[in-house]
Amino acid sequence: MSNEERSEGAAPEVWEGPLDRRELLVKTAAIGSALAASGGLASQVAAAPRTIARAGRSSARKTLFVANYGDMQNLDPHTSSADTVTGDMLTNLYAIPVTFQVPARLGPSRIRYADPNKFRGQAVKSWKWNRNRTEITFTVRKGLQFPDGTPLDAEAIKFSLDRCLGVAAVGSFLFGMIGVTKPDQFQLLDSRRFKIVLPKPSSLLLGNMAMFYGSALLNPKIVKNHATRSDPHAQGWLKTHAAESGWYTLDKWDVGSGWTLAANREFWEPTRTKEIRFQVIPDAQQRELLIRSGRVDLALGIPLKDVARLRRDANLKVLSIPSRAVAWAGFDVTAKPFDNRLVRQAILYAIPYDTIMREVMRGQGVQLKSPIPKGTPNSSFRFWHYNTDYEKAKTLLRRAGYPSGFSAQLDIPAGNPVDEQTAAWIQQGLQKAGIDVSINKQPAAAFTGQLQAKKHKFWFSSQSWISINNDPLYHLYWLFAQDCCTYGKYQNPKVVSLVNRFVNRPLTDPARIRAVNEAQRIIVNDAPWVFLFQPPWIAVMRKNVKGFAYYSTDQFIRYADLVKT
Amino acid sequence: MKLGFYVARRVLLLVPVLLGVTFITFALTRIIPGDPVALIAGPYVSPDRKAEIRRQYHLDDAFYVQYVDYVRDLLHGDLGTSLVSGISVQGELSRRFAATFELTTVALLIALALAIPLGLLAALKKDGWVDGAARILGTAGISIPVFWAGIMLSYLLFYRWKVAAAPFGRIDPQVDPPHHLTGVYLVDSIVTWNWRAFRSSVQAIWLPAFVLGFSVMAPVMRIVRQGMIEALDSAPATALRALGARPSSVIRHCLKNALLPVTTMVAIVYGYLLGGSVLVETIFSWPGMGLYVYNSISSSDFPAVQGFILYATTMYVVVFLLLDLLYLALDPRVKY
Repeated sequence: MSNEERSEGAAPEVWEGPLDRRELLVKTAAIGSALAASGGLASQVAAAPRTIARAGRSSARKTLFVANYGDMQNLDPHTSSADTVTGDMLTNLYAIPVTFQVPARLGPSRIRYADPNKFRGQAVKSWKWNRNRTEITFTVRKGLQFPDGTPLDAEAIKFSLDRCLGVAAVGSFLFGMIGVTKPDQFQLLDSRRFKIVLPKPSSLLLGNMAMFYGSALLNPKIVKNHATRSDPHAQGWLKTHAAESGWYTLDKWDVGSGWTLAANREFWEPTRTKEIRFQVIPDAQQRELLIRSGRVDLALGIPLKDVARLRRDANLKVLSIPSRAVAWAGFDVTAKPFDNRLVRQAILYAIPYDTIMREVMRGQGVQLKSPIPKGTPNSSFRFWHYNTDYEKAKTLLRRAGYPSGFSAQLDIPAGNPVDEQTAAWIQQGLQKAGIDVSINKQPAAAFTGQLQAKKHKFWFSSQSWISINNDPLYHLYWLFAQDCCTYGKYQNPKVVSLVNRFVNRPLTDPARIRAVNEAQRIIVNDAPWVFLFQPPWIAVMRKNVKGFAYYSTDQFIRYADLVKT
Repeated sequence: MKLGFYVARRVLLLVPVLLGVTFITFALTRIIPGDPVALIAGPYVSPDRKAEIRRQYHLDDAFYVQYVDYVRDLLHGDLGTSLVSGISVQGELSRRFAATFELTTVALLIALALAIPLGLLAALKKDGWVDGAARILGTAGISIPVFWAGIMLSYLLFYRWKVAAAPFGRIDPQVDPPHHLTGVYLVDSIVTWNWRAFRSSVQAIWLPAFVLGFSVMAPVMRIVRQGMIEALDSAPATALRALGARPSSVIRHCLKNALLPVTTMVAIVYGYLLGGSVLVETIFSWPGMGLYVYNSISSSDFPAVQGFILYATTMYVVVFLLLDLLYLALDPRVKY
């Protein structure tokens, strides 16, 4: 079973995507003539496209202005570390084979929410699994082109997928986890069809492909033109240039100041805003003044503390959406005293969770009570038993052999108020249990370097993790069963075994659900993290900006949806 | 001829200074914790790929090999490529230099336009209310944090009263920057007769330049005041007054003497400001040196940090060389 089938219950084996332009015309004409006889309905069918076209023309003249907090960095979609600013851009510059369905109905905050477990074709029109679900054949839409007229066909898609494996970065890991490690597993059938061959069935394939990391489609002609013998994938050139295929092209980039995206005329999906100008506004208060004054239409990187104030402005729409990101303080479970489970549990009992949610999160976001965040299928908070209790923490410390407590150092990256405030509350809570914590602020790069080298003993950063595939075992696979991201060296053999055994099984498989629950129970009991919060995703826009849809998987904005009315 | 020899000697002395600086910064950037490969590659990359990146950037070579390579590239005018953005450090520095140079120069002109008359008035009306007011203003310039002044003035002048431009940086995003000649927008827009860009650039620069200028005005003003008081009390000034010279004539002669130490102070301040002001650049979204080096240090971007320090050192040396030459013109006692 694939992801799209799981979410739709008894979904058909073949998924048919939206129609090509030519097919749409032919079929609309047929339906139109059939309905013509019935009078009234025909006029409604005919009226709808005119309305869309009018809206498109009137919005074409309007440029959307965005105040962003930083500049873009590495623009190569297959190797980018994808900070939020760059990730936003790559999402809009590059098409992907499959993406998420967005239901038309409005959810909380009167916006649309993409369904993280239902897929639709973007560059492909349809896909079909073979009987034993080890091969999936994609059919590419007819007549697609890159902005320079180069055909965007199955061959171009294979070129990009091959490149993704060739550069051996994030995307290759995503394919690797489902057993796709060699280019010959991407098979070109003809100009419109290509096949992916898996060593065993996997329910994760479409979810792992629905992001630019593994599947951004690059213009092969441009990439080849800039490839060299020492840089066969043109990685150097693509760091600062784009070989676009998506809704927008990078029209101008004034490094350090801002950049402009222009609608890609060859893109086959509607682009409601034809031009978007991004300005780098590093200071949060200035971003606030700009959005309040109406000089920009959208402001990103707004601090939590400013949300309540901005909500009082009637001209603004403030979005603070509970995310699936997880923020935790980590222990090195191989280093004393954190190698003792009782010590870790004592620490979890000594954290003032309510205070942190109130004072740091300002009542937004969700308190995290499991390694799997709320919003992910099969997430369960029922194993949580660490409500703040200083006496219980002291008892556990005595049992662990630390009756007088101990001293520890908490490493945090410098310069982030949320990190500093959370660390201060952790320090205060642990002090009440007899643990003396000193806070060690490190330069961001040093902190990240030590994190990846697994050198922190006790650390916190609110730069949280978000799993791009909304699957509980995908989430546990990376954070508790893989060397790359188990920063605290915690790998419970039982959890690793459950994850590896069930990760590729369908989401609705009862045995898999039981495995997810068991893994959560073990991890919560082992307390390898101080489970803290799921921070909200925040953006502020003017009231006249419509059409926004939230994608919980990556939280990147699809600017083509937005329009100024 | 003597002057030419002096200048040549000073320029040659720049070589060991810069070599020393390159060595120290190169060593320091390697000591600072933080693995650049982790930053380039991110966490989701195989150890093999990390090793490949390390080889690609020659980070696996011995320290002295890396240093020799670095100096060799420098001699070819190559400052390297930013590890984070992939953009040439040289290109980035020249772009950022133009922005910082423009802001700093206008800020310094504003500072001088405020400091010299105020210092002069304070000296002439010593211990009077003008002197008191000038001292209060000077103290305010030093003690009010730049970030607070910037935010407050922005709030009042841009948001509330709408007399200042939005803090979009060097030019309004709806106005195209002038054709690139020097990179200094005010100059380029005048030379190319692009009055729309000129107007937008002036509107964009005056507030950040005022905030920056105000913060450096105080020391200059104090030196003008002190220098004028000493000059007015000096024997030649007394003699001039005894000979019946008009007060304006006495002030003119005294000011020439009082401005000599000001020149030194201006050079020090200018050299310092050319390194960029992180706070003013952050508040006003000014894409200058300060913000660049701050971000580069935060992300352990070795080539960018090294390039910046090399640039800042060169700036200091050049500014002080120009100062020495200026002294030659201003002070007849100075001989080379």
